[in-house]
Amino acid sequence: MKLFVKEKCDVKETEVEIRCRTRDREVDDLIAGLRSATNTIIGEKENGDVCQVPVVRILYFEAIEGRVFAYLEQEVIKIKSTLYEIEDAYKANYFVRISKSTVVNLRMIKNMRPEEGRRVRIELKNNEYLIVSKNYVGDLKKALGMKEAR
Amino acid sequence: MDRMISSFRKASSRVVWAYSLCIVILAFCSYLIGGNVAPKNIFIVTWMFLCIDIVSTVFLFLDGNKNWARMPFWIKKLISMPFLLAIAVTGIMNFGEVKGNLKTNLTIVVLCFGIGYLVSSMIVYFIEKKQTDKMNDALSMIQKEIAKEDE
Repeated sequence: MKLFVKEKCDVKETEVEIRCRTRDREVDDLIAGLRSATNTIIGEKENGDVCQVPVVRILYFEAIEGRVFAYLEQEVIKIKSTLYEIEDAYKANYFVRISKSTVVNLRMIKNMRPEEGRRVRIELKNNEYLIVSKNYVGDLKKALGMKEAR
Repeated sequence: MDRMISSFRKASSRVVWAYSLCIVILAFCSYLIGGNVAPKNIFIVTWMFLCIDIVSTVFLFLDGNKNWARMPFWIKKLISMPFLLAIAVTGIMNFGEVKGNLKTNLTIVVLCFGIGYLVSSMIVYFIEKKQTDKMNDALSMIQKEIAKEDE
């Protein structure tokens, strides 16, 4: 297999094109590898170890005092990106902003119910609760397909 | 402090609406009966709604608290009930000519309040439940789509 990397200034988004005679196992593995590389996030564990985690495993991201943390079922990792960058990068991956400091993974929501003050209470699959601020309820409803996107 | 002010504004906007309605009903009833509304009664009604405004402000303020917001609906209703019951009982018991009859029959006031409170809470609960079911249906639909996509 030959690998070429070409830099072009006019390219807006990084593109990967695979040229092959037939789509065999090697090509499928390559596709799977590329997919997993774009769907993982690099973070730092409490002990300082750097780890790579699939984003689908993350329950939610939370910004605390300028630092962003990703909450998994068993552990918490520190992320170097800002919450805004995370929201932007993983919007297509079903992550939704639910408050000034939280971005939640829709896959990890067990159930939800409206609260007083036009807020929504979310119960996650690890039985943790999160509150959706009233300013972000509209975004959540859009993500759930309950409200038409403008 | 800002949250307290915004809670007060929100509570007042609701209470003023109810207060105005109550005054209109009172005026209508006295017109039907053919008597005048005593100034004391107007004062009692005003005092009652002022107390309701204060209690509502406190509970709206508490809604901003995560731990309070996480409490089940019926527990929150149960906590707020004694305050509203006290206002209703003290107000109605001092209300003009009704005073004599109601003092001897306090249970009727409490019972009426209890039924009214239960019915109104149930209406709110079922409206919320309907919204909850709608949200959870949408959630399960999107989660099915995500699962398919992830596969």
